[in-house]
Amino acid sequence: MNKPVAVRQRVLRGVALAGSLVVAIALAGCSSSSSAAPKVPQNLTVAFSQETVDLNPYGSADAQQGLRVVDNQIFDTLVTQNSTTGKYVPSLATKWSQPDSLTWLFTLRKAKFQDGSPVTAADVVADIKFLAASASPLSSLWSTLASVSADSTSVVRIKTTAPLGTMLANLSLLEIAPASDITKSDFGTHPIGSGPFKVDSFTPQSKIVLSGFKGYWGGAPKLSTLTFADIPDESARLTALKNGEIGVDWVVSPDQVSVVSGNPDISLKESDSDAYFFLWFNASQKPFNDLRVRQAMWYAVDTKAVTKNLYGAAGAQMTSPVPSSVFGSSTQTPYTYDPSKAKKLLAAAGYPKGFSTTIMLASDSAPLIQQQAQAYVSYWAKVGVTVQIQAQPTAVWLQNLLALNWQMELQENFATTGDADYTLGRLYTSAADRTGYKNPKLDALLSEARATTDQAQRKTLYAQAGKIIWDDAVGMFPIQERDTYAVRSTVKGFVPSVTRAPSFLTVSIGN
Amino acid sequence: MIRIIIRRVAASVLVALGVLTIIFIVVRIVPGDPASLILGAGATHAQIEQLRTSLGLNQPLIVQYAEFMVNALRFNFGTSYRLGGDAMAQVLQALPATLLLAATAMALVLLFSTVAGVAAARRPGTFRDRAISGGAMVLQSLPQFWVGILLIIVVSGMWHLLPSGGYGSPLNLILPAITMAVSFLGMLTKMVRNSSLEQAGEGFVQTARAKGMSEQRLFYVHILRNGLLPVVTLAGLVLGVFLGSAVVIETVFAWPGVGRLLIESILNRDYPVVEAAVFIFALIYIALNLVVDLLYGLIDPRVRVAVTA
Amino acid sequence: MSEQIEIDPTGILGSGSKSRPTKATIRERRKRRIWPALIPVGVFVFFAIFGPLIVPFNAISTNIVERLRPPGSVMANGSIAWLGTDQVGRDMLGEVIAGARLTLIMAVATIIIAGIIGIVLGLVAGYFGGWIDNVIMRLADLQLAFPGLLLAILIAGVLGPSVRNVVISLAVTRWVTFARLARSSALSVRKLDYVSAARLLGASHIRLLGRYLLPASISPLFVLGTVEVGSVVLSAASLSFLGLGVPPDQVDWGSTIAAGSDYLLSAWWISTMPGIALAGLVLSVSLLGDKLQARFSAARSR
Repeated sequence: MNKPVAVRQRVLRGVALAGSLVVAIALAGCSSSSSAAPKVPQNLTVAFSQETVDLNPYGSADAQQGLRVVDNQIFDTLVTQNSTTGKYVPSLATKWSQPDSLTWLFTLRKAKFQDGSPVTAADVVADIKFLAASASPLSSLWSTLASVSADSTSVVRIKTTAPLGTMLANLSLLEIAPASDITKSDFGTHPIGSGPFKVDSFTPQSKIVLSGFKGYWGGAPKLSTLTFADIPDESARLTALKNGEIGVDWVVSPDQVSVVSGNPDISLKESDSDAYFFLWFNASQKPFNDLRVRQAMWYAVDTKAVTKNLYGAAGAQMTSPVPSSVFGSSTQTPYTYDPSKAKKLLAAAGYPKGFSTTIMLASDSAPLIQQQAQAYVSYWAKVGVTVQIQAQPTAVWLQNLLALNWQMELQENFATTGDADYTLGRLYTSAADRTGYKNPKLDALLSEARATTDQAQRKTLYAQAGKIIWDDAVGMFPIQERDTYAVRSTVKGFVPSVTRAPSFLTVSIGN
Repeated sequence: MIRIIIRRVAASVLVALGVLTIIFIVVRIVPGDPASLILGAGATHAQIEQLRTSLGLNQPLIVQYAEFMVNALRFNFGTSYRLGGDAMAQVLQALPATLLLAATAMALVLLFSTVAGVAAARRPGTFRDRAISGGAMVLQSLPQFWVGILLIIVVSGMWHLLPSGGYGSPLNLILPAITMAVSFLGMLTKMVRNSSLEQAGEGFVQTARAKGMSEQRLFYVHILRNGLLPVVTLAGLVLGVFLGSAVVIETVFAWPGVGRLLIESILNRDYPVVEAAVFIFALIYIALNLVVDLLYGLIDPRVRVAVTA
Repeated sequence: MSEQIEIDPTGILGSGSKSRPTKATIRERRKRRIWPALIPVGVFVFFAIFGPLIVPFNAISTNIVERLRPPGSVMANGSIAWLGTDQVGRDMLGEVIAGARLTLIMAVATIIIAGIIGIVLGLVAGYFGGWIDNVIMRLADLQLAFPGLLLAILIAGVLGPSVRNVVISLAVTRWVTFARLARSSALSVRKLDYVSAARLLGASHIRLLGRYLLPASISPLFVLGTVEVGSVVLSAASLSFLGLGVPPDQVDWGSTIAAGSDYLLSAWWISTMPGIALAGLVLSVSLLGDKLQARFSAARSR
């Protein structure tokens, strides 16, 4: 028996085995480290404070912020507004020109809808016609539309009956959808656009699931899915944010900021906002058809105290019917807090003992809206006016609002285009009849301001219009807002937006 | 035996029809016009009238009732005002979530109430018994929605152990199921206890003791089995009552079941969905009652004999 | 439906067996003394009636400068908010007490109305029997085919939020237990000798019902009423919590808890305090109900 040889053989075999094992491991290690580290799944869930009842950009909810926030991801518009400079830049349209003061020509870029079909001028033409005829809240922007046609597959010709100074602003709100789709009955639940995200599913009161559209003309989004969760309850939203179930929550109500302010995983971003509150009086019926009553209601309320105590740094008292940052805003004489003056006005109008009325609002639709209404009710009670609060779900509120089925109503509103025409010019004309207040002099000012292209002239006209609306107390304009967004640290590239409809194109999930 | 079954089933069908009638009566009392609610603002008078006619709202009430009943029996409650799909389809889509919640809560209740009730019944009159019975009584007094809220504050908000709502993973299920189980835990624990004690006083127990059976065997094999009888059959009914409490629990935890759908539809005045949801709940409850009735008849021969006599 | 459970929930209609008082019985009797259980209930009732006079509360009057203050904070005017303030600055102590009043009013009104409906229908059903009995009992079955709060939610949802509508929807769904009890009572009493004698002497149905059957069922029904208070209070609070109960300008415990659900992580006291009061009331009433039940069933069996 050659023991030493056997042992040596065994040792050699052992070493060879060990060696090959080591090499194998080393190789495996090399190959795994040479391939990329496992990617973080690019799925983001976010929650916005307003409910989305519908996705149809030509329907009765088309001015609703809940709709705009989601539609901004699904659709493109011809132009968009740069929020810092205020200038309009190309989006689906690459260039435009005005051969004469009543005609506009827009050239479209090569882009595809999410179903693969190309974006053509015929689609844009159909969309504009549909919106103008729809009697929806945005349709009055197109009241001076004369005709729209396609000069070619990529050129759109829009003609107006009078010069339209707000053409670009209006187009920045017009979401472009395929002509064949806009008449479908499920367009509001499964819309198709050309934007960076397409709709996978829409479950009302639950969530809206979007997935990234790889064929987007502006480049594929980094996120593979973007989900908008419907969590109307603020505490629940913040708890979800803290637990990581959602990545971004906006707008955070001033009351709730303390819940997340010390949290290391969450950062708070503040942003200027075009959001503000107004309280409308229904001037088509008693008692608010009397100017003195409307003014009395405003004098009875200490809007300065309400702004400070409810909103703190997130709110500022308004001095104009549009927020101060909007083009066309001008400072008016504030209504001081004067309950005795209010009582005198009420007595003069024939209500020495006050009266009873109601105020309507959409529950959970804006930060602290219920508390704001309750504070006003308390002030009005002190001058003898008993007000009952009618809190309704958003869909019901919207129907009542448009039908003028209310006596007073409180809501948040947005100056989306940064131009006074969008609010003053759209909401306060006799034709629009949104508040029951009709004033031909105001109408003339507003249509003239819309038709001029001289910006200085427009500013003067809107100042005059604003003064009429303010002095006539068409509504009460208490508070303009500053927004707080809460973002988890794993969410990269998120930028708040003045319109509360941020873009998620360049957002990604990091570590 | 078959005769009993047929009679019971027929009675249940009649009750179901009666439930539909009540639904019809309650919902049609509503002031306001469903047609303008559907069409929304901006609808012309002519359009509203046209829809009223096509919805049959201008017909005499008897005709409306007949149409409603015929359609309802085919599970057709019309289209949802809010979302445009079939009302019953929406309800059925949300149903699995509610059933999951109720079933989980049921399992929790049965488990804990049996354990606690037995523990109390084994030593009646002692501190243990009084503590458990007292605890059961306290649990029964707690408002369900408040328990849910407290759990959210503590377990989700303070300890970050579980999510506060929503749907998707088993973790989402825990807090709502516990909340749903809590109030019935009290009632069922007392029932297990009392029922077991009742059995303990029965004649056969003394006989068995005289024959030398051990206490333990006596309790677990005989007393408990008989004592659980009413509890098990009650479980079917309790499941039905869980469905009734689903509305509140699903609202607190944002659980996407039929209960939450019902509340949202009521607030949004989406009456087709309201009718469909209420009907489904009642139908399930009626079916459960029927099953429990028949089971009880099967299990307890005394009942069977008494009925056929 | 569930006849084996519902027919005599309070065990009032005893088995009639007699027993000699033993030491165990004396202990049982002491356990059944009622007055200890009356005290907590009495406290709640006292605060419900007189509370708003002691701690005035105005649901409409807000004080937004002092909103969301934790329990024990000192207000600008020097007073202390023992239970804190709510989201518009109202004092929580006053709010909880005011809620007690409204909650108890709704509960008592519901039970009285449900009781009256139930007594009338139950006595009539038990006394006349036959098809009247059948119809009424089928109606009861229909009622019971709706699980839990469902029918009340449907009715309250359709009628709209108001105190009156809460009472209506709860009363409509609660008369059945009262009816069943009244019916059982009528069934046993109508066979008694003196009733048959009165009938032979020509007494009208109304007289028989009013003079003989009604008094016999009053005490068990009263006990049932007490037992039911706790459950009705919980149902009313649930309706308010869902937004189907009191309108926004009135407060009860359910609506206060609902309003506080936005502040669970920051101002937790808004939801917690009314909940404690609610649980406390239901518990005390349940204890009282239990004692009453025990007392009456013992009285029957003597």
